[in-house]
Amino acid sequence: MKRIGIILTPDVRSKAYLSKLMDNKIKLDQIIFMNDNREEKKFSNKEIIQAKLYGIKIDKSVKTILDENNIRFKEFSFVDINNSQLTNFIKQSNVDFFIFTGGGILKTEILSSGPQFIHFHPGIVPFYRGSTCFYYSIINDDKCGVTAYVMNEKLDAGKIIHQKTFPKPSHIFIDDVFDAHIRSDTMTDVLKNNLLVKENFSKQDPNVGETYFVIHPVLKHVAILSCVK
Amino acid sequence: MKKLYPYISKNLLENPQNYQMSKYVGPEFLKSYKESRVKNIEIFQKENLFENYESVLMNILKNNSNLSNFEFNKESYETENLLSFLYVRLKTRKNNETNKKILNQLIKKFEIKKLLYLQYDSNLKEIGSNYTKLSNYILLSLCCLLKYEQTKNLKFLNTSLKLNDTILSQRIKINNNFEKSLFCFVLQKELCYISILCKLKGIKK
Repeated sequence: MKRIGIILTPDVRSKAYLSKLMDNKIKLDQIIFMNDNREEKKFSNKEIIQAKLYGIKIDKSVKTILDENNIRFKEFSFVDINNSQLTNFIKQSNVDFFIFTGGGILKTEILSSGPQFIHFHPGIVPFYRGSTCFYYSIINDDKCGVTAYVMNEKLDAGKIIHQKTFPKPSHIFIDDVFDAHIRSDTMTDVLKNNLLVKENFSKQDPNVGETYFVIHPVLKHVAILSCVK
Repeated sequence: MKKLYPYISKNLLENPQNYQMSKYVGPEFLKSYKESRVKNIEIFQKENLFENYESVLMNILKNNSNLSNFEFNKESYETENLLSFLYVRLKTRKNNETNKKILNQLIKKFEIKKLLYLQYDSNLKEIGSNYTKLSNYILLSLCCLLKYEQTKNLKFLNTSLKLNDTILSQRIKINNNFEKSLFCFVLQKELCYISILCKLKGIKK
């Protein structure tokens, strides 16, 4: 059996991943929480309700969710994926795959520490690499997608594990709620269907496709308004 | 109180805007964007501008001796020459992988630092520290809009919007009539493409 872990950060994406893991009764072998005790983002009632409809609890902190559900975890007092303390811990962890939720760009040292790191990127690669891809795909295709892939030194160009498409949302809470939902839903698919089989991963050609940059507010409004028109 | 388009009020060359997690404001945001762009276009139009700036530009570029001898494999490039050459190549559809690669690299440079330098070396690393020449920003925006027109790839329209915000945040520093004419043309094109996109997506502005 493959040993699987997750590296959480104090943000909405980690809350979504935890919610879906608990709802689907998926147990992981190692939970790491990078926690610098920052004040987590507060959400409006509308956002909390929309998140609940997706099965995500965003009204409590990551630490509270972990504590209330008696989930054992290893806590670090920083949010930096390349911190040497974290790298050393990971080297000893005997875990095959770690789910990455955020905390920076992975450098060579952590990438070569032993386990493979899985990222759920909100875009169908190679067509949508880079930043805020869901907005671009809403405008272009009226839908969004997520790619689960193995992280390497190139941006969104690692071996593909699984891809899933979603209809565009009918609400405006895309940055936090919808993004967290589609990523965590894809994570659930990967874990429930035992898709972490290295032989089945498919290689990408890093020279094919498109890389996008942070969407300009005008295009962001075009995308969101096209969802709620 | 009526909300103004907020992305051109600061000097974006000195205080670059990263546009990350920008707030969704509602349909009124697109109205404020349109009003701001129209207002700026009108300011330029009050001046004595070239009427057919694009063809004037093409003539200038074609007759520019720096450009007729321009090569891609040089030790260093004047950004203005590099962008002018790229524009002519795009416009005349002499499109190849090198042009595509250089345009993408310049877009990446701008997207990361939100600045364009006077010169770059053969690996497109910046030379020197001068990033204030507005004609470079105008020319890159023009290339992006042309590429958007040809490909409908939103990446190019996206960068053009950011470039145009940056230039507008420095509007009073554009003192050359030709640059004013060209930028006015760029703003009109940008606004037109956004209007078409809104219409296509069923959004009333």
